[in-house]
Amino acid sequence: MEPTLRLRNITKKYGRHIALQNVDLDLYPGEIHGLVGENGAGKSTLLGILAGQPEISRSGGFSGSVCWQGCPVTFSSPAAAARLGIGMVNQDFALLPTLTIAENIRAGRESILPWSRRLGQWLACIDTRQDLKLSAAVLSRLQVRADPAWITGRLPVSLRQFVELAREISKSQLQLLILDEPTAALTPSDATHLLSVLAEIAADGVAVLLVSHRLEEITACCRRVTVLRNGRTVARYAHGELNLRQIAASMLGRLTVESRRRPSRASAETLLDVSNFSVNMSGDTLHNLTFRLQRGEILGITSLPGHGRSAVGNGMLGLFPSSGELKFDGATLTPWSNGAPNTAAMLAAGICLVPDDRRQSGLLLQRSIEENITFAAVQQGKFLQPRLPKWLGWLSHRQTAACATAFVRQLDIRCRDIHQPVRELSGGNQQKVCLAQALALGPRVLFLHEPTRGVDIGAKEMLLQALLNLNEDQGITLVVASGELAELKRICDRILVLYEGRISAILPPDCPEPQLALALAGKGESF
Amino acid sequence: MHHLRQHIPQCIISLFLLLLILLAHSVGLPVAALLSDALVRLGMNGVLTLAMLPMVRAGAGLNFGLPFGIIAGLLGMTLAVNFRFTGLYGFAGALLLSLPFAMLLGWLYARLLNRVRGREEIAGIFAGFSLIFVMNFFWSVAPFTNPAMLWPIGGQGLRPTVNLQPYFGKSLNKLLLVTGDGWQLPLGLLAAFFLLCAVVHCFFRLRLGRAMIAVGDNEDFARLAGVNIQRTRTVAIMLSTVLAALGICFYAQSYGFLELYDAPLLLAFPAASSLLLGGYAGAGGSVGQVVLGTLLFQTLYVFTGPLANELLAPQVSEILRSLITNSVILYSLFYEGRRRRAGK
Repeated sequence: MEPTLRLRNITKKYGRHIALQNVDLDLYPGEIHGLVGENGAGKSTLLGILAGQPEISRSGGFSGSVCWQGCPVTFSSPAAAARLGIGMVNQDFALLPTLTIAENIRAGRESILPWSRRLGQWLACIDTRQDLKLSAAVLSRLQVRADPAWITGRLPVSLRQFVELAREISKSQLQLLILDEPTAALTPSDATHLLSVLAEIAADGVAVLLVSHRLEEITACCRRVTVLRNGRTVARYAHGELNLRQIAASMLGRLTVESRRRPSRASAETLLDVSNFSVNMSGDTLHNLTFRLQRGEILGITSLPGHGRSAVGNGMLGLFPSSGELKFDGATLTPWSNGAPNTAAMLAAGICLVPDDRRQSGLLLQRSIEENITFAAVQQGKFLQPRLPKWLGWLSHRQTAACATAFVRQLDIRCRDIHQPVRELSGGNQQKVCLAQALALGPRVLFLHEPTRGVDIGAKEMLLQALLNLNEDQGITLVVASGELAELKRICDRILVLYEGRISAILPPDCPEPQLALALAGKGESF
Repeated sequence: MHHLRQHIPQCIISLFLLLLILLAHSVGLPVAALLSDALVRLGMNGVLTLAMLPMVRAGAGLNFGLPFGIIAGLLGMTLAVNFRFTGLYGFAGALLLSLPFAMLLGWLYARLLNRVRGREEIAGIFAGFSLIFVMNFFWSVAPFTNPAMLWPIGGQGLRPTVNLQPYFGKSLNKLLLVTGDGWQLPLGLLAAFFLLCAVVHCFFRLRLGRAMIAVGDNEDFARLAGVNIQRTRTVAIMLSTVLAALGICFYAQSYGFLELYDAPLLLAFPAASSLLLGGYAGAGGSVGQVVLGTLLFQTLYVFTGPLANELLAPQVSEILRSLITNSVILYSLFYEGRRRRAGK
């Protein structure tokens, strides 16, 4: 059979750095091909070449041959790649935030009112109703609970992932579908559903290239797998020989050890008493949440995307309007009062948040590691020159540098030095900077949103271990909101499951899978 | 190499300047005098350019509402002239008198801009224009008593141009003035300008300054760190307005005349152009860019005039000057557009 795409001897250099070396790849119609590798292994560069990203040609192009259905081609631009029939689902979303879901899905391919067809391509009127209908159909195929008229920019990250996917699978000329970490923002049940949709698409004769850090999915659904390490193809596996441990070993060049929560050390003392807490966040609302957080525990919060798991922390920090009663160590806190946020007061009380969308809200990408780590702490009045009056706010660079250096060492952030701009770091290291920034505030309760999202398995284990250490050595109470059930079960003392913004169940970490799945679907029982 | 690429507009304009200087020398123009004139103009205009910086850093765009600060400065100076302040102390008095006006107008300006988030530049232009015409009314009926400022006939309403020489005109220019054969170096003026630059530079190393930069770079990040976004923007805009008030005082004392009525109408544009010339490109902005940009802009201004008069017809000078500066600004905007598309 003729491969849809054949890559031979692909080599790509950025200056002296070799990103890809002699990579070969064949993609056949109707197969799901897995591409795995650690962060920095060259996956993104390879996808960039396939998607015709201008970054590639600007930095000197690449060498090697690319054959599309038997003919040699060059991908000069994203538009050219799309014309050939390549669909790309990005890791950091390529969506227009001010448009509705339907407008995003139909962008560039809008339906046209029949009477206006004579006016030509540029003047024809868009049939909004038809677009809404088509988009709703695609969304229902994905079984996503979303109104296509919603504004994309206000959706939580997980829903945006579905919109991106819906846009690509609704294209009729699709020959090759590339997905970069499509399930990172999804729960296992949604991920399973997504994979079955992918299998259907593949059955229609489309080649699917799936990049994922979740090796379980790769082994479950891919026909063949290619492993990249340091820009080289280190292994290829066919369907019969897929083995999770073997793939992980060839990815890393070593075997990983899974960190796991020791038996519960939480005291019975209540640290945070939440009652009737409601958060008004578009796409992720929370209704009358009541629970008690115990001192020293690790509480997991999970739900399907859009059912409220990110609203808890965001509401608690005053990022969205909220109401209800919070008692923290006996003192009453109001994250939102008189139409204005009280974020500074929450931080001062020791409640901090590591957000999920780190590139958008977690980091100052252009600025140094040192400034990112110490910024929030400085704003809360730490690291100021002791000899000068405090209102002046004169920074003590000796203190900020010492703090940044300590965190770089403690969390093993791989960088040139503390003055390196954060945008140059890899995803895992950026996430560690986010974590360090919250830790520099000296938190007593730390909310973490999707802490391992888009982080490779090596760095993921280190992050999870770091979280366990923080809890056990420094006594920080952690609230982890995530869709990664396996991780929550490994590190949490209790898992709080939300459904439609209300508590569906509070489960122990060793509860059986079916019980969790039922709770996620709103049929749980509290224990 | 990469570093150099970022400064192509500055390199081009510096080369062009070098060419102009050589040309001026070859046709026998007094190069030293022209260069010292450029330095005087750096001190004269620099503070107005500096007034762009706090707003740019806080993400509120170029401060086209400069007239808010300028009006405050003019109010301070007219009061100082009315009280017959003289000399360096008189100038200091004018600066102090303009401060409360600048804070008040800056606060109003900030309230306005906080309501038109994302369209600050265009809102600033029109708000500034409106304020100037409101003030035109005020100047013509204001109850000032010093006859040197009033219309000689009728004795009411301020003149469009007030001579500052008997009061504090050139007071800073004459401070620590080093003169030589055909050239002069106003050390006092330049020292005062660089002192202000240093203050602004240090401000951005303070806690509040850092918060301002973060608000400009990433509001979500700043909000999560407990920064009050509205208040930080308000402070940045007030600071810009105060600097603009000081800037017009520097400008007027150096010029020797107080210009009222429509004079401040277009003053924001050369200041914005200077910052763009210095390499400001949509994000960041630094004191270094302010100094470099103002110096390039003013040197160009000083040299093209006499040279064109010498080589071409007299009227060509102004045309040539506008053509060159504006095309370089256009180039730096284009260059920035390309860089931003590249996702840098």
